[in-house]
Amino acid sequence: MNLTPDAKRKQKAIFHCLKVFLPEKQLMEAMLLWQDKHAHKKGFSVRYFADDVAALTGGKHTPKKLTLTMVSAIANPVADQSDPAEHIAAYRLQVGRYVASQKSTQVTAFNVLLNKLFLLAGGELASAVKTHLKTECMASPLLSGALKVAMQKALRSENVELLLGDVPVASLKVIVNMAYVALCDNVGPVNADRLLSQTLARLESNGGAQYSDIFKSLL
Amino acid sequence: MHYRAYRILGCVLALLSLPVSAEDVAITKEAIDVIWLATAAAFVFLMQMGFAFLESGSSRSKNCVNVMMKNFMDVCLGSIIFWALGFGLMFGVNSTGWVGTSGFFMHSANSWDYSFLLFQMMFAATAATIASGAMAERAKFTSYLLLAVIITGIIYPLFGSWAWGSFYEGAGWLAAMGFTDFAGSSVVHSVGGWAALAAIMVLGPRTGRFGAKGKVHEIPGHNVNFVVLGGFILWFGWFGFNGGSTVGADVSIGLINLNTQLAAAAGGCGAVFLAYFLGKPLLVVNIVNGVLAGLVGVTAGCATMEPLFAVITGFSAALVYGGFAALLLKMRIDDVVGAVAVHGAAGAWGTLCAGLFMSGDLFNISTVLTQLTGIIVCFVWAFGVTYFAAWVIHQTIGLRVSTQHEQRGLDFTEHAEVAYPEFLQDTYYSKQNLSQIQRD
Repeated sequence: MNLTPDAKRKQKAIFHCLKVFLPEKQLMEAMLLWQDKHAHKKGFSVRYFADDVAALTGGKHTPKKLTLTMVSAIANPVADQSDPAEHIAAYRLQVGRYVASQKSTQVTAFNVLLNKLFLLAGGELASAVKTHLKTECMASPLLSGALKVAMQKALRSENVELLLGDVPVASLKVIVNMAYVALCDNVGPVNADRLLSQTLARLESNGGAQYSDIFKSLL
Repeated sequence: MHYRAYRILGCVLALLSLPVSAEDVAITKEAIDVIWLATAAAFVFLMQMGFAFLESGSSRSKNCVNVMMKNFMDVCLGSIIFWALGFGLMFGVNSTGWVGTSGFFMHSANSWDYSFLLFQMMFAATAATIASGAMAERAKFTSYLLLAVIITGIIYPLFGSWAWGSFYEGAGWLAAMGFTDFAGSSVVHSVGGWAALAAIMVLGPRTGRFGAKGKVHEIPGHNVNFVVLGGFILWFGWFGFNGGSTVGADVSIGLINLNTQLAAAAGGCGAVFLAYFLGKPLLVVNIVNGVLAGLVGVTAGCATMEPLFAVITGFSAALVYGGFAALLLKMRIDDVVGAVAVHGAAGAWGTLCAGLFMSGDLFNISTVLTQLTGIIVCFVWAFGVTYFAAWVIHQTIGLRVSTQHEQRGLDFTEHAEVAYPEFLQDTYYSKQNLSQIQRD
């Protein structure tokens, strides 16, 4: 989920403010609603969002009360509050409510790279690399919880598609390196280097040129 | 024309008939000794070039700058450390037989002392650089340099003080036992080889070198020509390495360098023989290593054996190299250039041969046992201390680079440059994009 810094700030304030009123499930639904319907609006109106949240609670909390609380929370942010972004992303993944257009360019490039690599590696080798990735991703302390879950889901399908919005390039690089290590273990580092290089060359000459800079930072 | 020649001849004869004092002879001898020692030191220094070529050629192109840098820097650091500390520990006044206690930061010394320090400094740099090849392609640059400083400053000089001892006063305890290692099969090469073994055991193999179910993945070097050139340069340098160990102009240099040449040639033949005997391909890298094994092997006894035994030593050293290299592979120990087998194992074997084939005292069991004692002490000391040092470095600042860096190549990640930007194969960098890519 690509949010502007201002939107991220508001998201944090809203989350912690609503946490007091709403049970966990309703809170997460409210946050998904905020991300999908209100976060990207130029003129964000707390009132319209409060109406939606009130409807979500079945009228238990009035829009007026919710509006006043949220306005106050946004105007007076608390410095040491935790960022709920990962929590929300994990919930979104869990319920499968994903908006395809919200994938970042890095993630798209990552998916394209991995799929081409697996295609060139071929059935048995690709399968071995996927198995390695499943284990290593879960064990890695460098990847976030949401990313680990997302990778497990992505690796289950023939066409790997990581369904997460904003993932740091450093994390994607770690996963690509895990794939490289798996290739090295199976076919040796000389062939692993050759496969990566062929993947890059094929992509750059066949529809992947737009992601060229991202590929180089992933590799 | 003839009249002029006779006039010159007459002058020369007149000069030759002039009386010359003993002091003049001594001064001339000292000058010749210093000149020979300084020249031999230059020969040994050239071996650094040989190592650089050999190790770089044995590595993949994405790591070859890193290899060259390690060779360059370990001679820079090693020279200073050896001048400051190592020389004193090795050759200083040695009253206990265990360690020298004078000659640190040498200054205000005489010409011969300076030339001797220079010569021994090159030996010390050689010992350190042996480990660099074995550790190539996955060692952190700064951590390697730290290990090289420890090898040059402490590990090598202390064993050297036992085996060679003081040139000023006192003798090393091994030397006092009768241990013979004329030019350093054990002192230089085995110390370097066993240090390399310890370091690569702590480091672990390169990623993907050994696959599942015991499969060995070959990782060929990027330039076989470099390996051959390096081998030739090392061979050339060895004439100074062995010949210079007389530490003066001496008629024995003839036999020493003849034995050096014969052993090298026999080592090459030994490698060829082994390949044919085992039905394996004749790889030029193995032939070069066979030659080097022959050179390492004869280094201990080149001054004290007859030429026939130099041939036997060289030939057999190549067989020892082949066997040990195979053993390391079986144990899943990854040595990029075969340094452990060439320098460690062949060095130990050569030290034993020096005892077996001692001129005028062939196959003396007592001599052989003394040699064996020295070989074992060398292994225990060099391997043990290096293993500990490498382990401490590994636990603190880290000895090994990340797999991310191995994937990208150490040239780029450690040094921000690549060796062949115009001719990149299987890498992702060009001259245009080098500065734009994040190295971490």
